[in-house]
Amino acid sequence: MRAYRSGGAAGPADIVPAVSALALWPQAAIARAAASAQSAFSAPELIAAAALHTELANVIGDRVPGDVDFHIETASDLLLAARRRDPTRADLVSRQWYVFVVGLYEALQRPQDAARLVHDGRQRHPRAAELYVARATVIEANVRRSVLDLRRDVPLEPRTRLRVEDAFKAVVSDCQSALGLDQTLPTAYLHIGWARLTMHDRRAADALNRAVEHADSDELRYLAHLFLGGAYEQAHRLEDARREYASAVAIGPYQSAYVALSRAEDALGHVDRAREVAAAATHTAASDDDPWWDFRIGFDRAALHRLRAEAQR
Amino acid sequence: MIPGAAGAALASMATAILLAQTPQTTFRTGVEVVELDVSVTRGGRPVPGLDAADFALADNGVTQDVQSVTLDRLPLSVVLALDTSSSVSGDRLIHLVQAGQALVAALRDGDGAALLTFSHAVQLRVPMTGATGSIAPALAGLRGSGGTALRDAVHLALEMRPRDHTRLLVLVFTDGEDTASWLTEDAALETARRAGVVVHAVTVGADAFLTRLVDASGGRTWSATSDRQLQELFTKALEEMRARYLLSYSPKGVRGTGWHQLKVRLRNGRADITARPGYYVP
Repeated sequence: MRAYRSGGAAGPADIVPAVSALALWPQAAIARAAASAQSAFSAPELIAAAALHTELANVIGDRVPGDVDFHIETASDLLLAARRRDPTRADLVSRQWYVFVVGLYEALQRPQDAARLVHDGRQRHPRAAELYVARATVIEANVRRSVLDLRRDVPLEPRTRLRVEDAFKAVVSDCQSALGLDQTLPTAYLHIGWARLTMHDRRAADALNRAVEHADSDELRYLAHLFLGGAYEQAHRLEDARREYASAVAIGPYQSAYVALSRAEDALGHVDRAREVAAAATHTAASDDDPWWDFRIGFDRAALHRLRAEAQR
Repeated sequence: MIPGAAGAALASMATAILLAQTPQTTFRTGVEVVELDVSVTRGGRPVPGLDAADFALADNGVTQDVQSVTLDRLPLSVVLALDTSSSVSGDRLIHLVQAGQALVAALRDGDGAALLTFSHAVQLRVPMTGATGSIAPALAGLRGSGGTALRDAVHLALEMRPRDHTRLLVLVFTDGEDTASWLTEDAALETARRAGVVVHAVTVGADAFLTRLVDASGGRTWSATSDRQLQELFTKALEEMRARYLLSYSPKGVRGTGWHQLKVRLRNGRADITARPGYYVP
């Protein structure tokens, strides 16, 4: 836990030594240690221990589902213990923790667990704006399960379209409720923008511009620019789309933005530039942390980073 | 796909491969010369021995003089764009690797090839090269994992068209639906229409996008009913490309910019003709 709080040799982001060490512990030993930590640790230590268990759950992912549940439950218990020491700080962390864990279960294609965690989180934090957005992401994931590829962007069969429209109305409604509690919450603007982009609603650009304005992480800012480019493409504003895609590339040179930028340059008749950008896209293929890929599976890497930062504070 | 895996710190990073500087496209539309790959078959077999006088060609409804017809003389540049998502494993992967190796073995002196693979990520494994011997070991090292970004891969493959006078064939293999692309279907199809490159597709199972893609590019789809067919279908795709006529003409009496609809037929006799439906002048 101390190694996690200070990070490894490469700094605070280097969580590998701490996570690897915890992975070697048998569950029985972890259970005993967690039980004694609940009375012996300070609130910051309990928060760090909870975050460390959450990191390990993320790393082992779908390879050992039972162990994921064990570490998530342990983290939940540790956060409850932290709340008894310092309710204000523990609640702040707990809200981020729920957001991340809901996304983790969605990414692991365990929708019932994701829905259960949203329910638990909202019971514990009924006025948490970010948990309204988390509930919206669960609705989005349900849509993904029925329409695998919304970016394909071809007309849907009428009954499916109605179902998707209803779902996205619920997404927008939840996100608007979140904005009623926190009018600068960037994830709420992002998901409203995504829902409207998918349904070809011209108001998508307004929401996405607000997401750019309030974005508090590179991942969010990247997605906001990428989606905004998509909204401008829909409106046949190719120069504006090109600018937004270039902004996304500048934030993080991930493949999705390169592909989008290359295609926009091609559509504008900038053939050589399109080829240069396409070539750059294949440079980036080795990276596995494109925010677009995370977004598609419901995984919220920014929430993990916020959780980590809070634990290391 | 395992999400996040504790960020980049724990993710295994594949080797980034630089794209070689490929020359500019052969497809010159600056309304000087238009080149069009045309497949002519009768009863499923290529029709040999045709020359310029045998073809009637209309550009936006205006009859054009076909100036030259070449067959099987120009070297080929083949981009192999192969699906390596998680569904491509076990026997399917073994047969896919064998199919790719057989295709590369059938290339001739002067031909070139590149290997691009896609899961949720698109990776250029081997840039376009005349030293096609480097493709086989790269194929042998393939492993299946992750989602499928088919449309993004098609766009990137089409942007690799060489600037020399070889004919480009993009051969796409996939066995599943797109799950990870950013590009929409219409965006990827527009790239195909602008590129003027023949795309052939080998699939296991139907894919509506690929059908639209090959129609837009003048290529063909081959559906494999079993993984064992992959080698045969890859080889057929190459043979089909070699049996194509390359028609050239200088457009006359048509507006320069925008979309040009093309119609090709034989002046005498019937045949099945496959060619891209038009070209775009920016």
